[in-house]
Amino acid sequence: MSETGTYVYAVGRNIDEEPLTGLEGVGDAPVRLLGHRELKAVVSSVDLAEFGEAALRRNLENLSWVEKTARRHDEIVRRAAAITTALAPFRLVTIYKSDDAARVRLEELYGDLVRALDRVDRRSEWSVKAFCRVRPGPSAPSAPAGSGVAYLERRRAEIRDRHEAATEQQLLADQLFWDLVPAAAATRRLSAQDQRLSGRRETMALNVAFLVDDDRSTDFFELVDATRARYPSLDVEVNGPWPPYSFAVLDKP
Amino acid sequence: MTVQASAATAAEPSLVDLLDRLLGKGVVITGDVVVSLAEVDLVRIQLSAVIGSVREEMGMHD
Repeated sequence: MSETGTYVYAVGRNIDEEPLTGLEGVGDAPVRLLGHRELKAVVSSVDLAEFGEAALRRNLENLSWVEKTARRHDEIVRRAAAITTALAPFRLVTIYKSDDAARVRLEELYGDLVRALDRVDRRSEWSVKAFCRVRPGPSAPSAPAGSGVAYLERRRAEIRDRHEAATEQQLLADQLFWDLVPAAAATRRLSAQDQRLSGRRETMALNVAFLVDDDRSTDFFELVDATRARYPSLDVEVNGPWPPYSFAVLDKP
Repeated sequence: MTVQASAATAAEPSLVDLLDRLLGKGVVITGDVVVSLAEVDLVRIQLSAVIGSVREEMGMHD
């Protein structure tokens, strides 16, 4: 490795190095811990030929590089999350010039990091998505009967109906969101994913991250099940637990 | 992370879900590369901001 930087995956409390020994981070260098006050940063060294400014500019446009890096980053964060109750994950490709530079930044961010860790301590992130079940709906007439005007009117009515149905599903999805809020410590609404990205035929009406107390996850699931019964037109998908990626946001960049 | 809750866990998170979280809402704010999959904008990376933050963190001020 020529010139290196320090890649930070996450910062947490009470992390032992031993369970992380042998793990390889992005770029395959060993994962290690960097201590600052009572905090531990989970880091690895990265080659600036791959992770330096010019290289990142190129690599971030390469989907397979982004995927490989994101999956490894996620793996390291999950391993660390498994051995502590309080972990604040960092964004992908957070890189410092050296360990010392990383420590200087940890000191600058110290107050914010402590607040973020307090916020996520003994809590996990759960993804909840709601999809509009495909309605059988009136199929488009294959041979339009009657006049062209009648056909156009019918087409317009169909489009209006579809639009109204979509609006109604969106309202239901919003209600479903609010039904779940009482069981969560915090929420963050994410953009609905395009069908081609979600891999589903159905339209995504809701994409939310919930931060849930670990000892209340059963309540949360019960509430989710209740919404499944209450909103039969929506297909509710729960996924997790995630490290609290959506809730470790610092107050300043 | 609870083990008890693992019943609802999917095998591997989808890349879209992962990047939603790793690029959008991390500790440092992101920045204008669009990574596309199936001709859909998967994530918009504000490259200038990512690079800007990298430059800053690396002490490479102009």
